[in-house]
Amino acid sequence: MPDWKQEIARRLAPLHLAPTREASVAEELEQHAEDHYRELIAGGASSESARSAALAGLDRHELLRELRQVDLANRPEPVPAVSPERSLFSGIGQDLRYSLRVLLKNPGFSAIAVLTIALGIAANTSIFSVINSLFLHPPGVVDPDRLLVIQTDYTKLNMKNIGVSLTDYADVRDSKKVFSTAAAMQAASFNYSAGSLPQRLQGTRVTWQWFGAFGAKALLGRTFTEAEDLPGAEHEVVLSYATWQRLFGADPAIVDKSIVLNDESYRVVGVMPRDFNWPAQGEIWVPLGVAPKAFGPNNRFNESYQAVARVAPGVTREQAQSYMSIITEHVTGAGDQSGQYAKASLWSMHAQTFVEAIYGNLRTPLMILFGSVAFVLLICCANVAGLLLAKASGRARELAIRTALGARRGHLARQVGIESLILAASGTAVGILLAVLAVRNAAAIAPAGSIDGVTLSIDRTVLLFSIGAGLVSALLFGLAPAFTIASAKTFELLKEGGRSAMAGKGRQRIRAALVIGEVGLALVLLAGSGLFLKSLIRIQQVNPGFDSRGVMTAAVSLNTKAYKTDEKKEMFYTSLAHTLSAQPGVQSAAVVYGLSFSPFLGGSSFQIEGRPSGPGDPGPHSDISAVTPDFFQTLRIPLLAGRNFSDEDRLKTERVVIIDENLAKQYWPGQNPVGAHIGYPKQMATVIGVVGHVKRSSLTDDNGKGLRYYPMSQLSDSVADIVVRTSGDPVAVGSRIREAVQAVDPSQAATYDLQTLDARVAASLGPRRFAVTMLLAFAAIALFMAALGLYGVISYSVAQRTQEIGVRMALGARLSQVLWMVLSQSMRMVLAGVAIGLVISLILARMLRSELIQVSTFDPLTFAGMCAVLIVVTLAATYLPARRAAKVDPMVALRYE
Amino acid sequence: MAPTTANELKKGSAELLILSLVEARPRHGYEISKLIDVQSAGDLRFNAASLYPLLYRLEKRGWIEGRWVEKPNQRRRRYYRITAAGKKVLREKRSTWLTFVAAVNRITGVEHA
Repeated sequence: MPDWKQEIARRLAPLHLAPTREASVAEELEQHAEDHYRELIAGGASSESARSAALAGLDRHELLRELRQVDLANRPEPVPAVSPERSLFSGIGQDLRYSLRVLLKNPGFSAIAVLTIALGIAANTSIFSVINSLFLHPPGVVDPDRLLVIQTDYTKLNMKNIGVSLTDYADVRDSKKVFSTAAAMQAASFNYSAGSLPQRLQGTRVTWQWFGAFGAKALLGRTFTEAEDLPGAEHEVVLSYATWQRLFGADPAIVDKSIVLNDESYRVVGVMPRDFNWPAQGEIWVPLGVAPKAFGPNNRFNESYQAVARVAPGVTREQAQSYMSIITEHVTGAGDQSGQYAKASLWSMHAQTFVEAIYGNLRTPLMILFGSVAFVLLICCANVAGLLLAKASGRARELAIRTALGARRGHLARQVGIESLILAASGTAVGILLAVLAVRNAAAIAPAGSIDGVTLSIDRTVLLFSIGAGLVSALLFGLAPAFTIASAKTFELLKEGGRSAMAGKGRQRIRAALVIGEVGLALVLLAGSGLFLKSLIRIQQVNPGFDSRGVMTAAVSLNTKAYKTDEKKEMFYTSLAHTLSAQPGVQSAAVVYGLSFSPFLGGSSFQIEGRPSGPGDPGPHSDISAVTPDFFQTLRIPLLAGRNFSDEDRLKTERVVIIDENLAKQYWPGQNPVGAHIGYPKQMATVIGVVGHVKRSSLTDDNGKGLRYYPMSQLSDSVADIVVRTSGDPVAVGSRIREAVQAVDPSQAATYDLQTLDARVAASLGPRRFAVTMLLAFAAIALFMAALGLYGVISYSVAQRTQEIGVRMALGARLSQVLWMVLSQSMRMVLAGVAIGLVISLILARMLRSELIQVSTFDPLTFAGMCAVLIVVTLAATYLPARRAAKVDPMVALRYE
Repeated sequence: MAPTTANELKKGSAELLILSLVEARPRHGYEISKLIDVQSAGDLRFNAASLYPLLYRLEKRGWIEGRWVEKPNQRRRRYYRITAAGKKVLREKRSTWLTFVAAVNRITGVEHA
């Protein structure tokens, strides 16, 4: 009987039917041909002619043409028990269970992989949560992208991003088409008296729209009404959540109670929710309550307010921002006096987004940190990929057998993919937990003042980010192992599984490449943090122009009602200075308004007698400060010419002023300014001395602006700083300062903000120090990970080469030669990584050169040092496996084979 | 009827033929082809290359249902039986066919020549 089967199979082959389907069709056709054949034979036909007749009925072309027209995908037959999976997702539950079993069978491997991923995810989640809380979702602000901060510039006077005047604010407030809401505020200090000692509260005077502009609502009670924002009506107060908790024990019936601020009664109208802290560190809000005429044109250049404005619906932020230049042109274009002044001083108004204005200075450091944690995650992924590849080598035989038994490579690759996903998911979960811990303790590690009032939290955005990062990681580290399996040939798997010596050569190469990449990235982080560390150290060594060591400072705030007159203030500050100096352990002491690195900094324009400025000329400008006589001595600021203030310089005596060397150089180049008269019309003061220049608020930026010092008795405010130099521990003098203030006025003066001058200067570097600390930590993680990765590859390679090493030793290789063989293999990888890392580092350093103050972007010492650290650490990681190689007993190694 | 014309007609009516043949009871492929051959006295003939694709197509449309059936001492065979949907289609096709044939006959005058 003819063999129909083979012939039919040949004819059906071009259709590429699913195997079961093909079998069924073939069987049917085969029977048909056979029935036909038997019938013809029975009818007396020769077997040859019967055969060809039966086959003619199965015309090849017709069969193919007709079958192609039938959609054969539909399979009515039940799927046989042994069949290949129908789709990518069938049998996924089985794979999942299998993968879990595999992972749990290797708890050590799984734990290391999960922890590695967790570390990378935790670092990324923490840094991203900061970015999220500051830039994407600042707490207490609805739709932060559309809330703008209005600022002014006097380009000619070297003043940028200063506040606004009430006139400026009114311009914005009244532009209803562009801004739906605008509000202004001014910081204010209140002495809250509940017990015997007055307590100073950081308050904010706000226009009634303030809370609405942020989209904030009161937690208890309400915020201010328009009627309350008028002179005489402004005796209401809104409490911050923290103040409500701290001072009033979270009293739920606080609303409508009265509290005493600055000796006056204020009615509590509301409590804000915990997340509303604008401005940051504000403890209470009271209505601004200025008369409507204060918003008139006369106040154009009195910038003592901050203003925010919310962009109106239908207006884009860019349109609102460009609208500010229309206001500017409107002011500078008016031919009047203020128009001329605005024009001459290059005055302008502009608007920044709220987050940019508040946190703009943190953007670059945060982006650098974000970039570095991305590197850390990459390194972690490379490490896990290396681990998985090593494991895949160990599993080669298992995979080969499964392939031989009919498992498809795609299926095996999927299996490995599922394992990667399980590892990534567990790692991400642990990483998020670690990040929650880190974020909860962020207050302890973040620089003081930089993110106060911001509650970092792991919200939905952060979670999504972390999960996304986890998935990307799974893809990154799962790809190489899955790929090597998917592309491997069965016989190769079997071969590799059978013979240990040659196992996974391709995989070893990928692992080596991964380690080289890790070493490179680690060097980038090391070099980067090294450069930033060096920059920070250099900045800390910058001489601020005064000696901050051994100086304690504090702020003092007076009740403005009790200290209405200049005479009263003069008396208070003079006797405070004397009382402080008399305290035990105090070398010298002074009271100062406008202390460097304090919040009270300001400047003003002035005139020089005999040098009239042209019409509209803004004239000379400088910072101002007011000090008691011992100030320069206390801070060791050198007197360069003339004399110091003395107790004889009083409110009613001749007005005097001391200028710093910058101002002297600027306006009296090559001359002696002593004796010149400067100041405001009718209030001219005689220059009596010149002192050294001091940094005002930053060690890194110095705009070179001059400074005028007035005697405290002739220019005083209701807030001031106290500076005390001591030979001992400055912190210990703190209590003496409190006692001195109490001794002078026990009821109307509050002492607060005690800290050493060193701490104040250091705080200005807080964000930078924080960034450097974090960078160093990330670099350390990177270094550790790279070393671990190298260790893994080398140990594996040594284990694989045991037999080879044994042969070499049997043939007379010396111990040192074996050691060297292993070390040089590792050295090659490290050096390749170093080369790559150096190139990337140099490029990145060039890009960040504006941040790398006081240090060259290719500081050779830093680069050489970091390369050395990297090489030493990574080679140390190689030492253990190298020792193991050297201890190989030739006999054992050969017998093992 | 000349074979050529028969072939052309048979294509249009093939579905009707098969449905009619499996209406009474399930039949396997060879049986169907044999019945067509015998009952048409050799005028209609389907070879395997076009019959089975046609069966699959009808099956795909849900008009017939094929099932492997094993009988003692025999090779298993695939039997096709008509489905409920197939019965409905058969009714429609039959009436369309009869209308068509009657119309053609009236025009060509075969009946009353």
